Amino acid sequence: MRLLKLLVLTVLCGAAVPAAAQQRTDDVLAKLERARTASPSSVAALRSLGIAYYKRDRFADARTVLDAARRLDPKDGVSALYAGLSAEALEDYTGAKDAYNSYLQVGKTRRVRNDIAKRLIALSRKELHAAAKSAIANEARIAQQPGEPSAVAVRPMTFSGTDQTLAPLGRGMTDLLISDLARSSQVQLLERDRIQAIVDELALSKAGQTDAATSVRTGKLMRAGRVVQGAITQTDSRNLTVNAAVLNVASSQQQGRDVQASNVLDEIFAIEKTIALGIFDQLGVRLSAADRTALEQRPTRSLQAFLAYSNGLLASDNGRYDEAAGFFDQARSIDPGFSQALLKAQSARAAQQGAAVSNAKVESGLKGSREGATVAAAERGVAASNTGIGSTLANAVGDINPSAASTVNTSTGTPAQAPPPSRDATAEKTGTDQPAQKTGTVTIIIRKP
Amino acid sequence: MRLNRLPIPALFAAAAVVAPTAGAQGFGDLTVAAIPQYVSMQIGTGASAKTVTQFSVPLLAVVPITSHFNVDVATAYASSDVSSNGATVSSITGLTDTQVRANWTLGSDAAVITVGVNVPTGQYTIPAANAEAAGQIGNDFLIFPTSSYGSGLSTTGGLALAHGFGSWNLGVAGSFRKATAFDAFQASNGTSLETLKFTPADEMRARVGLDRPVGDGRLSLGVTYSSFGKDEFANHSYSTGDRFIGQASLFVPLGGTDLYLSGWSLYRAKGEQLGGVSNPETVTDGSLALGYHVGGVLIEPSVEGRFWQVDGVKAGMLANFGGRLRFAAGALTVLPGFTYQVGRLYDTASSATTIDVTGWRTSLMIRLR
Repeated sequence: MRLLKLLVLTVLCGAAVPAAAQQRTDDVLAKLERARTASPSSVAALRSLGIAYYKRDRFADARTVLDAARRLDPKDGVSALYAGLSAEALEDYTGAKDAYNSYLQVGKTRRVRNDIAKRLIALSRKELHAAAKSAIANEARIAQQPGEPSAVAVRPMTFSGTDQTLAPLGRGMTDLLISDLARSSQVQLLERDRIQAIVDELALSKAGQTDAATSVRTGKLMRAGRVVQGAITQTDSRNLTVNAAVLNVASSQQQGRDVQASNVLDEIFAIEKTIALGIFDQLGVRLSAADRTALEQRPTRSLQAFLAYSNGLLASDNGRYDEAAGFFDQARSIDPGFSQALLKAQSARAAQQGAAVSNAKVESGLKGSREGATVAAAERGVAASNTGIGSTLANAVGDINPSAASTVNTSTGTPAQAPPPSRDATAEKTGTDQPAQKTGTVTIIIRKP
Repeated sequence: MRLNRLPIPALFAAAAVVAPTAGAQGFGDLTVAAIPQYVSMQIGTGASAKTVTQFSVPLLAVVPITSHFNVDVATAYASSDVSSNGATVSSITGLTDTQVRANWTLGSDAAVITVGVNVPTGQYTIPAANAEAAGQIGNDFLIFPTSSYGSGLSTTGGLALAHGFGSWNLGVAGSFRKATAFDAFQASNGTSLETLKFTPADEMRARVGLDRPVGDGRLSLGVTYSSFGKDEFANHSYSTGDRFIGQASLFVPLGGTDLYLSGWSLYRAKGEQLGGVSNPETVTDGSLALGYHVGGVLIEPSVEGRFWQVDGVKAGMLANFGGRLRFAAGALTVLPGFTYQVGRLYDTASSATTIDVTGWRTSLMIRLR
């Protein structure tokens, strides 16, 4: 019967919990909003309210108050961290990166700093694609602003041929070309990742546009003065032909003539050098002797290593970092001197680790730390300071005026038993607290004086 | 149903959290919790063994009235039982005293004024037949969840101060406890039962603590000193030995594992008790726990060792092997725990005489996150 009562009690309590939890949620928020109203310049109040908003998926509200807290105290790491998480939830990756970088500077919890450092790398790809989407959405306005004539964008080269295992060479050839064109100080090469993001986003939206039209759009969206576009054609099982052209974005016309090079597959690096020199000509760039010497340098002489590297670039562009790292490692194992492959492998591995860092993992890293205590206090509706001084006081109060009620808020700390907070005076005086005494009735005989 | 045969599911079913109620400012954050715990300790072996069990349900409430003022209330329902050869020889069941505590925080966590009242809602005037059960749970070495059923009306006033010095935080606190008399025992005077008054000594406490971050974790150190007047029992005064409690704890996350190291030592100075001298005693405890994050669950295995000395002579050793889980279930944080205990008690007059101790304890805490 007693068991039945206990079970009924549990069921009743269980039914009450969800509604009560919602009530508590509302109360916590109301309490923190009152605290913010009472002290609008209090970093603790703003930070706690921002955390509470974030926990309730009110990311825009969270961002507003957390940014206010950061303006008041740029060294407040928790505000920076949750501003970053909120900005990321709002797909404002640039804002998120800014906030995360602040946390790396001023954050106190090493475990979270490590996670954020990894996450920043993974965030870059999201940021590029978000920027590309934004540029396309604002294309009409952006297109009115002429690009810098020296700014050159190299679009990813296309591949056509029967052996599709060679298709990734388009990415590798583009990467090589950008590296070589960047050797001249007379042109300003735009980053391959940024161009790839624009091209990927345009591919999702374009309908029946020619490559030239798309290249011009790419150039306008990137505010480039000129765009290099090219194609690799496998003419037979052993030969390749590469065509390239320079488009003037402002006039939407080709600048100069086509550049072409053909050779056997194994001479792909020679082909690339010919194309690079040809493009310099079309761009009107006169190379110095030193530039020409530098241009002769090749990152690798192994076609297989370069093919693996190209596969790695393709996988990385598609966000498959683990696979990309494997290809870069493969390139490195084929040609140990291929240093660019090593750098790319490290970058892909870091991006992979960053992609695995979830919000929950970042937040769980705070547990047990002072910053975690600040967050936990915010969840309870308390605008706590970041110094841990509150727990110093709580420990002191708990020892001089002990109460079992202190355990309500104790879910961290050692699971071991604490020392007895108070003596049992009567048991101590009668000696009945001694465990080794014999079992039996205790009779206390006191003779009156 | 005998309590010491209460099945574990029933124990866990007794766990309940009464969620916060809507209401006026502050009361909306009311948290009320019940934390059922069950302890069973067998002292000795064979026919001379006795078993001390306790089923305790502390009932706790915390009421933040404002952001700087809160009141908490704690009491417990406990059933304690001493049995030998399967037969109960002494038991006591009911509510304990109720502690009502008010804390007022001054400034931005600069100081706290604390006032507490021990309301005598517990079991008093304990008949001789119940005295053993009431006494056994008060032992400082074995440590039961509820150590006393009542200590009379008393009030405690205290002040705690905290200040940061670089990366260190210093906490200094002091309190004074004034107790009043209560009817403690029914004892025989040879011809009839007599109710005996007991007046616990007034107590002054002082505490100094330091803490600082260590990596992503925290190091905390503290010493608490309690000085007592004299207990008054049946018109006699008995001096009570002063107490010192030193505590240290270190929490450090190491990669994906949390490390907890903690230790404490309780020293009680020489005093007096019925029939003679109460020798000084020391209880020292050290523990190591690890926290593994597995999915959304924190698994915390722990090992703990405890050493008891009376007047410098070994009196007991105890090892605890336990584990605790912590996980979230919706808005709730759930912490079930289990500990197996094994140890030995020594006769302080003759260390050759030993008594084996084994036992286990389990607890379940559920609270709103």
